[in-house]
Amino acid sequence: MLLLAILSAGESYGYELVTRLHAAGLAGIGAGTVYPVLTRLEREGDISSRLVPSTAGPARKYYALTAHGQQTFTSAADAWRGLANTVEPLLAGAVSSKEL
Amino acid sequence: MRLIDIARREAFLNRFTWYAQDYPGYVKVKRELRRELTLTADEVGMPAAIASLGHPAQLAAEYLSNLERPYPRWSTAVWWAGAGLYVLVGLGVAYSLGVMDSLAAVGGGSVDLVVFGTPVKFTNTAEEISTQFQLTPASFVWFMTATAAPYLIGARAWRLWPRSREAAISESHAT
Repeated sequence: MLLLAILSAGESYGYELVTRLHAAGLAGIGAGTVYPVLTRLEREGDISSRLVPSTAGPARKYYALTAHGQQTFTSAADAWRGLANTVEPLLAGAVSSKEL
Repeated sequence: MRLIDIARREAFLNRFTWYAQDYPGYVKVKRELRRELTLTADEVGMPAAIASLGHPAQLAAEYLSNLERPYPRWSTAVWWAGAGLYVLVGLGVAYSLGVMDSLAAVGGGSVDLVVFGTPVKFTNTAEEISTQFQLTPASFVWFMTATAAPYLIGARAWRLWPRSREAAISESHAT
């Protein structure tokens, strides 16, 4: 879902996605986690890729969200918000009772 | 790119290939990882690029866990079949040595026996020490049993029958 969220803002390549996750505070997510997920998302049709020539050597693979991926992202984001809305009052209640 | 960096990259990819050999299309994944490592190394250096991928075994496990269902492990199965063959041959050799010792203990001679479906003539005399055997269909059956059975078990051949990961998970939860 996080990768889909980043890609919904525009296309990007593998290592850039990793650095953007790190910048967002998710330092524990490495390229070793991101690349397999990108492979799966592409296989499932949520993202597409294209090769862009690079001055550094081989062509760089850029990923972009597909229409199917946009639907997947919207569903996942709704589910996440629903879960957060359910959990947050419980956590707030637990904190309040502890303060008493 | 420096030679040492190429060596580091290829060493990592070879180790990854070993762990990911049961991933369908792992050659393509290896090719993509080589490209990503080369480009990332240009930004942060090869050691950091490799470190960001983690251990090759863990990386392969991540790829395998992202499959929609478990697949047979044909490469692992070859080792199982080899182990089965090793046991069969080892038992055959041990049995033959035992027969030869027994013949020597009774003063020498020849004996016809059937070892794992294979007729074998053992001879241990002052003039000759030999074993003569003739392969038969029964030999083939023994060979196939010793290799094919471990191969199929090692491959987890039942994974050929498609079953969704969700179904497998729900089943495991139900039990």
